[in-house]
Amino acid sequence: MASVKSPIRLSRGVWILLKKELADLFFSPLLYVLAALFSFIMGWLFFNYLMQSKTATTQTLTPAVVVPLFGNMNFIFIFLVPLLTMNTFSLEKKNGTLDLLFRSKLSDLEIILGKFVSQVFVVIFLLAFSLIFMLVLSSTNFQEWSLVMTSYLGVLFSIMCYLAVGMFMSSLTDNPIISSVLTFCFLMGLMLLVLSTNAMENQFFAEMIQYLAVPFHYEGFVKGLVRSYSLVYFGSFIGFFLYLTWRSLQRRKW
Amino acid sequence: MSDISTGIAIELKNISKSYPGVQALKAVNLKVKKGTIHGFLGPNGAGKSTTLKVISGLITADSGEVNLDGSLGFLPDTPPLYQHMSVRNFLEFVYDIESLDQSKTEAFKNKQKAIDDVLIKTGLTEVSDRFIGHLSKGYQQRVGIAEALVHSPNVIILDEPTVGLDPVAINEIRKLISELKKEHTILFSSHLLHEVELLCDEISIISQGEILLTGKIADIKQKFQGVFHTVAVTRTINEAQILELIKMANIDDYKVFQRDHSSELHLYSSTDTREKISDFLVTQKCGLLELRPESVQLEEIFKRMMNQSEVNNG
Repeated sequence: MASVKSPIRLSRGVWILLKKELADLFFSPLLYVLAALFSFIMGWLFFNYLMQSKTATTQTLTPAVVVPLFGNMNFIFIFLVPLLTMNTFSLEKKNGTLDLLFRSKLSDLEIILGKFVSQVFVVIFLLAFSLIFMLVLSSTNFQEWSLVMTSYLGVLFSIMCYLAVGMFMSSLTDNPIISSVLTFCFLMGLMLLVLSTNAMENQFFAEMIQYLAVPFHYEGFVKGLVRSYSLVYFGSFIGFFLYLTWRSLQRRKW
Repeated sequence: MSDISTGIAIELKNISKSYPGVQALKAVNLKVKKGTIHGFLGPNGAGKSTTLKVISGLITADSGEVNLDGSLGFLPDTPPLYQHMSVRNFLEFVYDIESLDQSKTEAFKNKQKAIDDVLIKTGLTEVSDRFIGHLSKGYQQRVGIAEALVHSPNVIILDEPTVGLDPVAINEIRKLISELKKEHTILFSSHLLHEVELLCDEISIISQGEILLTGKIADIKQKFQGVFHTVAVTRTINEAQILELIKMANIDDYKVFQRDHSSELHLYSSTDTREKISDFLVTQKCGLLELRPESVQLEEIFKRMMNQSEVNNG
């Protein structure tokens, strides 16, 4: 296993794997099925929210359309991410191709980052379908575009956390179905964690649990608040699960 | 990986590896000479694949040392292939991830030539634009070998490369392996003894995680020969002539098999008595059709080693 010598070498390794991963992902019909599903659900929700909004002004569109739209976008990815990440390592393990990567000159970090970044690109591709709703909004009196920007940023950070979890789960098994179920259960658990804090009597404990859940930090972004501690949280969450992925893959050698 | 002896391509020193409840390798020592095809024999579960994975760095040994002379190409028992990639794209990807230690310009400069060369060498040029998943199993195995070769390694490890292939594909792969010997050292695992005998210069036999035997096939056969076994086929020979031959040529034991128009004599002695036997049969006008030394087969040696291993391990 080659050690990473410089950022240039690191980026070269990541780039080689990234190209291959993107070709894999865009070759698969699964991505297009997911893109269609995502566009359909989001389009249907957007249409309904828009119809429910009494007037087309920023004051009404923000709470009635934009906030619920991004909330649902984030929620839908809890179902989509397990399907996107299930093959990351599981299928490669099953086909023996993971060994091909690990005995090559690619470092462990390059393999993990290459796969992670490719997943992020795919998520950006899916999110791009929602830009059409913003085009529709631009034809109204809606003006709070900074909120839209922070919401997209929040959704992206939030999904990156899901991807890191999905990749870790995929590294645990050579069965993609098990990997996707594990990812879904974990992400749903995180979502439920926030809801369960409402019923807690101990305020300190409830706040602590809330802080540990992804949706809590995501909510800030949808309100237009980019909190530094949320950025630290997202970075740590992603870093932690990518580290766990690395540990899990290292286990194969022993 | 260092301190390798001169003329040696792969050297394992006291490699041990255990999994929960199983000692997979017990202080394995192995030397593969440069420019040879070394057969690695053993029954299923003997530790062949584990040893090969330790050499390739896919798993880490509990103790011991692995020394390699130069770079390594590895074909596992199931070739690691991306089924939806074309042969050329797959080899380009493998070349890219194997040449990361070279400068980008140097790697790019040599890339097309390296891929074209390996496609020619493995006979894949005509199918280079086809998806790997659409190729026959024999061709997929060739792609696996091409993957192991694309970065021109000094040493190639092939783990049971002919398993599951049809007879035509098996012959093609064997021919390819023989040709690779010109430029590479090959460690080649198999449980097909005649295949190993056909291709390899040297062999090592592993059983229950231990190397039982290692060396040149001819030397090993000689070691196990012990008794000279001569076969004589004659047109006509009677009982009295056989008894006289036994006495005259100091034959310790014999067997006679009657064929349709001939008799086949299997004669066992402690020294080489072929000259005496031929003189006698010619003088007696027995109609000598054939006289040959019967060497001990690798299969027999393998069976003996396996039995011995089972006895030693209780």
